[in-house]
Amino acid sequence: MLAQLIVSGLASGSLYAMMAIGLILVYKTTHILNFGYGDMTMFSTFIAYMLLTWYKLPFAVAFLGAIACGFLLGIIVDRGFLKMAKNAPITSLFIATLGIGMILEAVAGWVWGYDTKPFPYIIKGPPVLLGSVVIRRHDLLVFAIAAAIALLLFAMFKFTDIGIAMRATAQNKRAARLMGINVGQIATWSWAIGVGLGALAGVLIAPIVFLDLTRMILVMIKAVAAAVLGGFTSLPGAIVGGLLLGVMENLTIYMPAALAPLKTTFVFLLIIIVLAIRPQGLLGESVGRRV
Amino acid sequence: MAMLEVEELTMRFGGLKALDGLSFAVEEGRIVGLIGPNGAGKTTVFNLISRFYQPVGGRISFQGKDLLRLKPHQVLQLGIARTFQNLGLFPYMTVLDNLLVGRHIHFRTSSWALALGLGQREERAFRAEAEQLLERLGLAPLKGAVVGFLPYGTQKFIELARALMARAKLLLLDEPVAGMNAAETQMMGQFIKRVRDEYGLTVLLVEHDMSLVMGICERVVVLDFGRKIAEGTPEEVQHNPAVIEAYLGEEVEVA
Amino acid sequence: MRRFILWSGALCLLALAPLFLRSYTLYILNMAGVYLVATLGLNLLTGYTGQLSIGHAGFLAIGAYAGALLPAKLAVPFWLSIPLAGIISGLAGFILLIPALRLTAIYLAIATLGFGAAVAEILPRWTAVTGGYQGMKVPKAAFLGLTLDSDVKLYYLALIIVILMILLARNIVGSKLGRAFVAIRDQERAAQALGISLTKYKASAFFISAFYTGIAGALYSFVVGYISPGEFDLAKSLLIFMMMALGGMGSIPGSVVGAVFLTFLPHWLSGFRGLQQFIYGAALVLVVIFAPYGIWGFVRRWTMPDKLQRLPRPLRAVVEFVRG
Repeated sequence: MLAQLIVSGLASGSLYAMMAIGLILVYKTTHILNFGYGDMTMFSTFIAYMLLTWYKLPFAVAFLGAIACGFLLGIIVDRGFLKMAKNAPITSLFIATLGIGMILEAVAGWVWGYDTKPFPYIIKGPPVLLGSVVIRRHDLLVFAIAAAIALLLFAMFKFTDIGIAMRATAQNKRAARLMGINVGQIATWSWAIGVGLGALAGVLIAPIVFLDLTRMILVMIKAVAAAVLGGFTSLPGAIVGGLLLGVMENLTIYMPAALAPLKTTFVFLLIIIVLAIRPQGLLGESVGRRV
Repeated sequence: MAMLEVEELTMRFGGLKALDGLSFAVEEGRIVGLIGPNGAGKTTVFNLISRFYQPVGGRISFQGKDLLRLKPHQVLQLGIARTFQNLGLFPYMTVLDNLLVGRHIHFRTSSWALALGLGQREERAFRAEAEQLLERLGLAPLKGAVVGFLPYGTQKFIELARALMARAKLLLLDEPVAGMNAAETQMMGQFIKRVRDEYGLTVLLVEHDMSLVMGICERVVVLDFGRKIAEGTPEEVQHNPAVIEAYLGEEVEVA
Repeated sequence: MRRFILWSGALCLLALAPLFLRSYTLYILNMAGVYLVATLGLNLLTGYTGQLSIGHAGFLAIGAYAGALLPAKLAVPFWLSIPLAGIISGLAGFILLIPALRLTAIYLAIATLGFGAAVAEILPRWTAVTGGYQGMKVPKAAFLGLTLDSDVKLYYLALIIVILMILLARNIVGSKLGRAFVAIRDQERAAQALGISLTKYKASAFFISAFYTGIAGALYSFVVGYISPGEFDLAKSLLIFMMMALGGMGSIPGSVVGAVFLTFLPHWLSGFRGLQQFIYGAALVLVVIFAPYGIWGFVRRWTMPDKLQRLPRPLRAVVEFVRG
């Protein structure tokens, strides 16, 4: 039973982690908390839905379509909106992402309607038995994709020019600029990759939670929590935070029955306790400053 | 007994020893300079006195009272005010409001009364005092200006004025003339001396600019790698071989 | 003297407004008053003290339920229940103090988010007191034998509360209290070195902010007449945050403008489904792009004294008065 809960917790945790990474990528290079992320993810996932059910295209196409949509959305948000508000303080930009989310929600409502839609699983078939643990095939796919993404990102930050420039920008914007890095362009890349990752996660989440206009916002909140738990500055931290959050959520089943309805409260309480002990999150950089 | 006594003070950051058994004393009424090459631990001393850091070992006492038992916001109540290396002004406040924050601990009206709009007389009295101080500094026309938009040198003077508003006995000045030109440096030097005399203050300052240190300090403590390598009058220190060695490679400007 | 005349004029206008306005418009104005008080509260915490909160709907909920339950269950007189609701909510604000003393910016934001989520989760389950998911009817506010049963009567209640809360905020902001808040926001270290205790003033900021929002919540319950847990969700927290940021952070007139603007905006936008949301979102984005420091920052910039030279004198006086 415990092993079962942990495994399925890890599966949802991987999805939180993927979304959390998208948030952190943007945050690290621009210091903007992208609160329109849930809507951007929803919008991209609806693109996949449309390609699948309206045009009956194969899954691979729908998948790529969603990711491309996320990628493009990221670029449009950064270039079209945020870059225009150059002098705005960070809190205002945070509001702007909320506004963009509302616009996307409105448009999605017109195009795809307001009711909840089931979203097909990519792979079907009976679950796999591993000892006494039952693993859904979908979860296996999630694990595989999450691992692949983690490796890809690791390789990107280690070996590609963009990855290295992103790291430099995250660490010290001014120094990066002095070294000839186009900080604005790096921000756009972060937005593109970040929102693209959300789209990817969205297509994997939608079969589980179904798809409507606002459901992805709840998933985003969990991604925010996972990111904070991990430290908000560290990608490995986001993975650890996401996985931990997924497992923690599942383990709340062991709580006394009377307290069971307060699941979210307890998850947040745990996060706050973790933060009280380690203010910089599990794997975050120390926030201690020197004068 | 000296006003400020630092004994065997030791501080570590990670594995790095920032201060290593440092002892020195500041006599009341003096202007004392704390100098040394970059990374010698000067600002660390200030941050220990301000109680931002907890030392690994040693004692700091002020007028016989143990400073290490205090929290950062209690240090001023004993009578120690400070300025910061990179300015500790509140950039979005006006000059006058910055000065009034300097008076913060002397307000007698309770927060409840203030919320109800009481305590206006006290506010007005302190405001008038702040305006007088600005007048004397020749900064009166700037009283309503937002601090962050003023030139750096002006801000340095305002920060010092704010420390004066605090009615402290000991002023800790962290690089009071950093980024100033020669004329401004001289003005600041004269100003520090003048306020010391007029307000009966004691001053401990960290500075790289040797013209200021040699010009106004009566005693100088030299640090290198967290240890005191010399102490004495400016002339004595200037000719101390250990000091010359420590500064080797750094240009020593002596006015 | 001129200021006095203009102030009295503004007050008269507000006092006589019910004569010209429809009941529905008055209802929206009352809601604007509710949000104005809540936005002031958030602004004192986030705009002035720099402590990010996206969980203020939690305090609004606490205030609303306290305001409704105290008269309903404990027979507390209505005039007392509003300040008591503020105090109860203010005390709840101390819950956030513990994370606030340890955490910065985004980490604190998540703690406040969690607080909001917790309140939203606990309220419907505490059926015995709150009436659960269905919500509860709020008893009519009565005062000296006068029952506040119409939008006009509630309008005067809201107006009095709003004016009192604005005056209170002005006193706070203009005193050592407000300066200590801004000092903590801009230079924590320097603030401490000047004798400002972070614990004490962050605690004050959280208390005051939650107090304001609690008062707003109590007013909300009387204005709407019916409360249910679903109304106090993340969307509401974000709404208050948007009112603050769009109006102008660290500014009292900004809070007024932001709250009134965003309360009325959805009502101006009636049309087919989705259009309202679209325009609302677009308005947010446009304001951020063209008025990065909020609407009030924008107004101030375009009413700088040098830009007013060409206006006729009486008009200039009014503009200067509004500008503050």
